[in-house]
Amino acid sequence: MNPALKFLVHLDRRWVFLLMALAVMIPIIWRMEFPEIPTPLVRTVFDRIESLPEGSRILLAFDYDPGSEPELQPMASAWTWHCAKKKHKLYFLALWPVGPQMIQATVDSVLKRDYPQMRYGEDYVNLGYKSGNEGVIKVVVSNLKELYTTDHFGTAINDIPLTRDLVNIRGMDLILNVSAGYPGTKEWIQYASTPYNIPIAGGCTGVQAPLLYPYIPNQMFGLLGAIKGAAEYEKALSDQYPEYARDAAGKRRPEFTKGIERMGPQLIAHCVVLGLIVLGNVILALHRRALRAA
Amino acid sequence: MRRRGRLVEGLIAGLGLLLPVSLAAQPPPMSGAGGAGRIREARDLQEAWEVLSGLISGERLRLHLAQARALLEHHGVSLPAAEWERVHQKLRARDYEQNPDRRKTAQDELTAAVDPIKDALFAALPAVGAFDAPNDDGTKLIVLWRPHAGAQQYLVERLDVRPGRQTNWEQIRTAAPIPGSAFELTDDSRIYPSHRYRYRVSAVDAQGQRTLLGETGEVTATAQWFNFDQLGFLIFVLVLCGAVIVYIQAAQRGVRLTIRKIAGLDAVDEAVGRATEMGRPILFVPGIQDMNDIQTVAGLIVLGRVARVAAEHDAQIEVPTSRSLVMTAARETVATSYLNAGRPDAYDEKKIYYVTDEQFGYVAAVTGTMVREKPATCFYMGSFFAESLILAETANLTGSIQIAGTAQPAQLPFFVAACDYTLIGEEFFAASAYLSGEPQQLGSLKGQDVGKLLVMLFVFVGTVLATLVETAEWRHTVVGDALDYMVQRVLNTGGG
Amino acid sequence: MKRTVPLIITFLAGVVLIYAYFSPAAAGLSDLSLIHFDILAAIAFLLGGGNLLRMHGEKVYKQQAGWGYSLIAIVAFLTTLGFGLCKVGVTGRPGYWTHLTGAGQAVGLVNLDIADERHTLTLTVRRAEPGSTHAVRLGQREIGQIEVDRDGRGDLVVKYDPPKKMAGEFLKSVREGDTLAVGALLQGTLQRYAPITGDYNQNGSAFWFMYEYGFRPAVQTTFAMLAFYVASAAFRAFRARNIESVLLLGTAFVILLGRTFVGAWISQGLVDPSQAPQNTWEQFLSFWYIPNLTGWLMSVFNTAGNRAIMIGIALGIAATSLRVLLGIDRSYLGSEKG
Repeated sequence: MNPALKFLVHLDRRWVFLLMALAVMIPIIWRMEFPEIPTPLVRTVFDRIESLPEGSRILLAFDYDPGSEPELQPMASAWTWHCAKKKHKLYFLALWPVGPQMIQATVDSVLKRDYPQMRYGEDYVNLGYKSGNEGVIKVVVSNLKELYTTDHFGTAINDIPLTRDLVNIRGMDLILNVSAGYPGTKEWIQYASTPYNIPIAGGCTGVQAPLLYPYIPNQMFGLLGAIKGAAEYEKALSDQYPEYARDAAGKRRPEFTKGIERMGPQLIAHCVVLGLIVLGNVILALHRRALRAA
Repeated sequence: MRRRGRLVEGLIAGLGLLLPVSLAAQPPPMSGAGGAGRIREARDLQEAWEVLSGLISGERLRLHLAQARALLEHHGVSLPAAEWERVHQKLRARDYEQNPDRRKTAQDELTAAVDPIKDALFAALPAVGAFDAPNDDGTKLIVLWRPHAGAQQYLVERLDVRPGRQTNWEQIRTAAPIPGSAFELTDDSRIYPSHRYRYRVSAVDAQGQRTLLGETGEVTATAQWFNFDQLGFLIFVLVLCGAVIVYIQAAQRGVRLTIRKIAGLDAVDEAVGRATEMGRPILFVPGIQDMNDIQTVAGLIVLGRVARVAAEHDAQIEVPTSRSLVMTAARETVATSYLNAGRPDAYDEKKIYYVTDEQFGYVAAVTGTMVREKPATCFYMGSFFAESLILAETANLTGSIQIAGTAQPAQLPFFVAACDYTLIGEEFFAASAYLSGEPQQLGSLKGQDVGKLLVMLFVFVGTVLATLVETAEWRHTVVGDALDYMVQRVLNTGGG
Repeated sequence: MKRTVPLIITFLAGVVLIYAYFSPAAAGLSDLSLIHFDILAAIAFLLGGGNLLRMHGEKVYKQQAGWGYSLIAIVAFLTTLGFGLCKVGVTGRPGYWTHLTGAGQAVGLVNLDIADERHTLTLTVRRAEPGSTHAVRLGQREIGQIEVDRDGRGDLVVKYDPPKKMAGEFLKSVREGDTLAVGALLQGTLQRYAPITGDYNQNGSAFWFMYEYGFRPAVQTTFAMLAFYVASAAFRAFRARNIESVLLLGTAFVILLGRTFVGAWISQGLVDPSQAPQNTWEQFLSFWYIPNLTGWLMSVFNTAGNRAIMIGIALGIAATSLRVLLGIDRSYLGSEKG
């Protein structure tokens, strides 16, 4: 057998690991970025938020933790920025214990930075976390104040203008759920959106996305899957609102384009994997031919 | 043949229970003579308030509309037939609206169509009412009242009726006015089963003037012993369990059951034999969840079988666990397997050890074991998450033969790509029965297949009905009704 | 007996849980069973920890191969445990407290909790003269009145809460050593909370330090290794050996391309992604646009497969659970009939 073919047939996987490491490192070091084209699922979500009249009520449910933050924070930030830009009223809550921290991080990095004129209690409110998983959803669709007597900071619900007259979440114009697992998008669809016809769009990790496709389009009109979905949404946002991705001096705002940034290594890595698959099949074909010849 | 025939008869009888039992779940007939526009009888009041609550919440609208109509007509309140027809049209329009943009509009139109019926029902009822929350443990009561013009706030008070004791009215809640809506309040603060309560609601205007809207009669908090919303599911469970038991008994009586080959399980003996020949251990990973996960239990059942084969072949088996309870159970399982194989001397409890609860700490330890000890065979049987591919690839690096089984759909692709044999979902649960070969265990697999047949039947029938409704536009015919029944009652999806 | 009792417990627990699912009156039994399990699992932690120490300790003692790693494991285990239990580096809860004492039998307790911009002072008095009223002074300043009810009990809460525009700004200036007096009845000197009152994983504590800079990077690194393993698995597994593997290969190609810009770029000639297809031919071409093809594969084949697998899994769980509950399958118990 040809020595080169022999080398390839018995290729040490550490060469593969090295290729993969370079595929991820080089785009990060060289800040390689690639264009994104929003797919229909992402475009649908974008258009829906765009088309809602000013002052619409949006429920943002952030059900993730620091472990999935790298994948999900970009979409959470993009949605919050978009909703604030359209002057919608934002209701944040979480079904995960560390969700309120994610909410506060988003509020600090998006609303307080770009929308300092937005007032807590009048334009947005953080209802915080309640334990009970889908039990929480079942209660808030009937009577939110049964469970939430105060917001995350201890202020009475009836003292907050945004929630004073809020009986339940059926009056929400849209639910945007960022989810890393259970409880998450599936529970929001099953217990809130489908029974009470509240439109819902989800944002989830890559592993979860296949499990949510059965709900599209009847029960969930759009989905941002993994960092790709976040990158597409950021692209759609920056096309419509250039100030999202670039400051007044035209400089890139890295905190709002993390999705696009992280797609650079993902694209190169995908291409490397595709190349490896092709190489593997070429090696198989050559090896079979060599064996037949022998 | 006769046994099979009896079996089929039994199943049909079981399915036949669906119809009469679900009919039995219909509400009882109303009491009392028809009144002139007012509902007064206690039992009718209870039902009327429940129906009104259902109309307000929008849950199971078809059922509640039918009940509302029967109630109103019985008490001499008749609404035009066109009104009822309009509501049903709006209901169908909402249910079949495919365009997400129009669905909210359809919902708003439906709500507007239901409003006259709610108003008619309210007019026939007292201003304030209360009833026991359905399907609860006796700790919830529901209070309803009509909006009062000019009210800035509503005060809800409760009296705990205790015979022979003096109790006082206690303010339990305040509510802000919501325009155009009836009020519904669920009271679950210090409500005790079998206790009696009364409620009164007052409206407070802008000047602080208080107006008593009404007071309810006594209402008893009752714990329901069966949740009739789950009736369809219970019937399905009974049919499934019945089928499993029937087939187990059939297998015990000697009926021959054919189970298809599962390659991964047929390879267990070969894999263990390989370990013996190479003089290397077998590594068994029972997942990373605790004993309360059925996948872990299933994994330990397979461990018992594999350990017995290992004992017979004089192979060493190592079981690192992620939970302490799993370690304890695994030790018992392996010890008994070695005992049953006649090799109690070969059992070493130190080979079954606890590592850590932390997911990646555990996988780091296990992969380290793989690289150092180079097991000949690796079994992954249980619940896995992100660490599945790390385990599989590392074992592949060391040249182990790998047999995996899990019921985590997200991890199956990784195991299929990286392992030699993978037991997908129910094959994993069938493993213990398959490996044992015991008739009663194999019988349970056949019983499971009955459940699958039922599901396939429902899927087929539902698909045909849904296709006819959509393509032939038969939604206003009996085909549409049948589909509605299936979706709302059999699948128990709740909502309208 | 050794086998029968666990079987009876399994059967009864299973029946109770099934019954609790269908019966609202018995729903509490389900929660009770879960709590019992949590108690058992918590006690089992001791077993597991003990086993860990024993196993590694033996390795170190006998100086078997790799004993150095076992020593590191033991040291890390004991250090983390010690840091957490002893709350090393933890500063107390932010705020002040004191017991209030006086000549009579009345006693009191005051807590001043400080959280960001919200301060709450809670004062509680017991065994005071029923019906009496006392002025509460913090230093020279009167901050409120306490009314004692007929049980001899009085409470006072003073808040500083800027969003709610609650006064009490003076709470910001409270310091250790300030005196709080309840009329002439009681008095005490405010002192800081002891370090032991803080949270064991408070920012800056030793436990937090080990978690943030030792544990989390290790976990995230192990998780990141998946990327490399995916590449090597793809290289090894996606080979066209038969029809099924060709289908798998083709699907993987489309999905890998469709989930990046490359898929859109190489098929951009087929369709204008900014416009919906206008006619049948455009619809046909639009189907082959790789991101659309990806979506179709995910929503049709992937969805159907996932649903079927999940239904099968649910039925498998039901049958296995029934076998376990009825005691037909007992090998997990180490049954003699296993």
